[in-house]
Amino acid sequence: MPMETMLALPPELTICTVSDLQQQLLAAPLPPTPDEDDACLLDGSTVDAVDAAGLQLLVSFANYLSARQRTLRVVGASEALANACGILGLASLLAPGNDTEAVA
Amino acid sequence: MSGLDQDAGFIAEALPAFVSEAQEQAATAEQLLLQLEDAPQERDLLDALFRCVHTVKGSAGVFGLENVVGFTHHVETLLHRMREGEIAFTSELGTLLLQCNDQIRSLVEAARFSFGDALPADEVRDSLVARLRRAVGDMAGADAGPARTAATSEAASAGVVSRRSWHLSVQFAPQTFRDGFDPLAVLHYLDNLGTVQQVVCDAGAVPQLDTIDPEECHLGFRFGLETDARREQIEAAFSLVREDCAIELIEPPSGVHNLVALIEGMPENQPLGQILVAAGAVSPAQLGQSLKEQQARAGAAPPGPRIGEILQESAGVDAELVNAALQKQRKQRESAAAAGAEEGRFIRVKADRLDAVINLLGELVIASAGASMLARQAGQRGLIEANRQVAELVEDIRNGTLQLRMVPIGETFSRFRRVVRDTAAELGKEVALEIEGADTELDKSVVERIADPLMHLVRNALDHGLETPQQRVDAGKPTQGHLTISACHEAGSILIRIADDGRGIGRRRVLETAWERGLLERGATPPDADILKLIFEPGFSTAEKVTNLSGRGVGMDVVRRNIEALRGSVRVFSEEGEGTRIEIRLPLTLAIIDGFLVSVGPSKFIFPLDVVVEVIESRAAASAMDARGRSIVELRGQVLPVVSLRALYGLESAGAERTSVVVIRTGTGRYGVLVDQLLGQHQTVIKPLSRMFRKLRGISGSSILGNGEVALICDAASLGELAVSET
Repeated sequence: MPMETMLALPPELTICTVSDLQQQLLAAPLPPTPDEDDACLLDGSTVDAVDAAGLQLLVSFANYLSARQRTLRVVGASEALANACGILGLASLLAPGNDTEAVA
Repeated sequence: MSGLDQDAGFIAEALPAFVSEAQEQAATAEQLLLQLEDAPQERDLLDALFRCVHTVKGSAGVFGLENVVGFTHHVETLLHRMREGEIAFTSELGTLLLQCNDQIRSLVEAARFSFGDALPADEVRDSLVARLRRAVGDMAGADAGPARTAATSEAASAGVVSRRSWHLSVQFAPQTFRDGFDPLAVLHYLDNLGTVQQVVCDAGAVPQLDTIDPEECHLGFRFGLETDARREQIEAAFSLVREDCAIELIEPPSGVHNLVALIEGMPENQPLGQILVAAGAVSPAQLGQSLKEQQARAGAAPPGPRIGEILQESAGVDAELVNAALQKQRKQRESAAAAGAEEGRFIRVKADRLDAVINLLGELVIASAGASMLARQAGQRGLIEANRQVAELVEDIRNGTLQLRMVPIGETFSRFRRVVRDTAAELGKEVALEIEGADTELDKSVVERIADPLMHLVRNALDHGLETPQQRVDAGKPTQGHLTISACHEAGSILIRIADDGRGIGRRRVLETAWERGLLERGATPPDADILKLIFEPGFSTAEKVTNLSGRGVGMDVVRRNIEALRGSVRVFSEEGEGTRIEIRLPLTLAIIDGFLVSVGPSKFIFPLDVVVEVIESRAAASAMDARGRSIVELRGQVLPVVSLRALYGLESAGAERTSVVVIRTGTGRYGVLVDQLLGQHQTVIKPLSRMFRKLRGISGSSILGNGEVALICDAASLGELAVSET
């Protein structure tokens, strides 16, 4: 059953937007820990411009979630986002198969 | 994947710096190429040349300027083969490389405006690439036999290009983002250079979202890179961010002598331990332990063993490797010292900021003069003394600041080497160019404005002055013509000479042209010096054939005008059949000079102190003056022509009882100027004359005195000419 995405990543995921995004992510309520699936989902379909600072923010968020017994998954990653993650060895951030539907 | 995901703003800011530095590299490359022509065996020149091209390519790569990278890569390949001794430097290759360098310049320039766009297909560029490929292909093919077989039998041999597996570990510094760099772009570039494998990001080191400063970089990566690029090329990917990250580039260990070769190929300025780690001879952990051991032993029994010894004893590093690394260090230190001695430390400064400071300084000089004058009037000793100190300090600052604008003229002169080389070749003439006094310094703005006139004169000499080899032989001269460009300081000015040993200026032809053009009454034959001056008349050109370079008659008068606009003067000396010499005099500075103030009635004049030899005070009125105020004076047994400023400029005030004579020297002699009062030394801020007054002969500028009065600054050379001329 498809999970709700917590937030949609903005089209620009770069040094210019990371500060704002940090605030947004911290302010957004974490979904309650369900039993089977502890994934928090971010929608990466509209991401257009990416740089390392943007990806670092995602990593930082992943670490933050992990300390709270959750994991981060980016679903529906756009090509730009997927490529960038590949280059920096961060493909693990992306949901497997890049499906818009998480595997429940 | 075309294009990089970068913020256009960062690029826009950093690109101009890249362009200007790349152009500097290209300029240096051109000089090196010209030097190589005379010394094709010089390994150092080849190395330096390779580095220039390589640096341009590396930096262009980080900006994603594929066009520049692509073209430069071919040039680099050829240079690399030359460095390895596989291809010899010939003058055909020299010409090819010079043309390629020009192409690199225009590609870099194009990048300034059309960043990232693919360039339209260009015949010139394509043909250059074809020639480069041929040069590399043909020549390498012939000699390669034994070298190639040896290389394939060994896993990694420094001289031969082959696919190797590297291991990289990169930790980016916290300020990486703020400095405008993007690790994503760097790794993307490396992916283009080869195949990046198994990238591991040190994600655990990134702070959690609630504590992180998202604009600080906490990223580190480890990855493999399979590439046939050389170590320097890989490192070039990091050349811009080098200060912002810690990089380890390791090749999996191989035989000792391969490592020794690797060590020799390493980048500069690394401590011994790093050199060995980078060669894979010792692991970082081992190095860390050895360093600790060194500290411990140094503490126990100073000064303690050196790191090289410890690495050998405890870490088991081969002695031969340690020696190779030590050698490398020593060479680095020597070359760094040499470079340091030559170049010193430099700071880039915007030219207009410097000008603003100098302007303020000028105002300061005037204000200080005003204060000093008031102090003298007030008669207070303490105040006078204080102002004197201020004036001294202002003078020191003045000298220091004006020095900042001085550049050696050699930079301009070097440009001429290329022009002479190409032009002489085009015209089929053999010319040896000599440059003297290249380190003579003058004001930067003067240098910039004198470059074009000088270029024109050089071209003239090549085109009209120097004969073809055959003509020279017929005239009993050696086939090779000589062209000398020299600069020196003389009598407070800078003197630039362009001399050739060509055919000289034909007086007959000059006269005929002048008669033809109506510049002179037909049949009139003025004295020789005046005939030569005719060539500066507008529209004058005796060249039988208007060539591409000169002969259109727009040259010499524009040259003279440009030089006079700089408050300079130009003279021609020439012997028919022997050669021509052109002398240009320019003031050392345009802004502030030491002056000597005099008065004639209520009018004030200033002479640049550099040209004042002495003053003869308070003589009774000199010997009889002619209608133009000229007379002579006897000075220590010699005759000195004297001109009266009052008479010369028709100043109306009544003549003074006692007059003084200021003795002025010019390049050609001495003369005296008759004035009323000598008012002493004066720091003079030069204000240029407005257009209306530019035609004033003998006056080169004006200055404001401390009390607000205006003084006219006399130009020694033209005043002298005015004084001796017949008309």
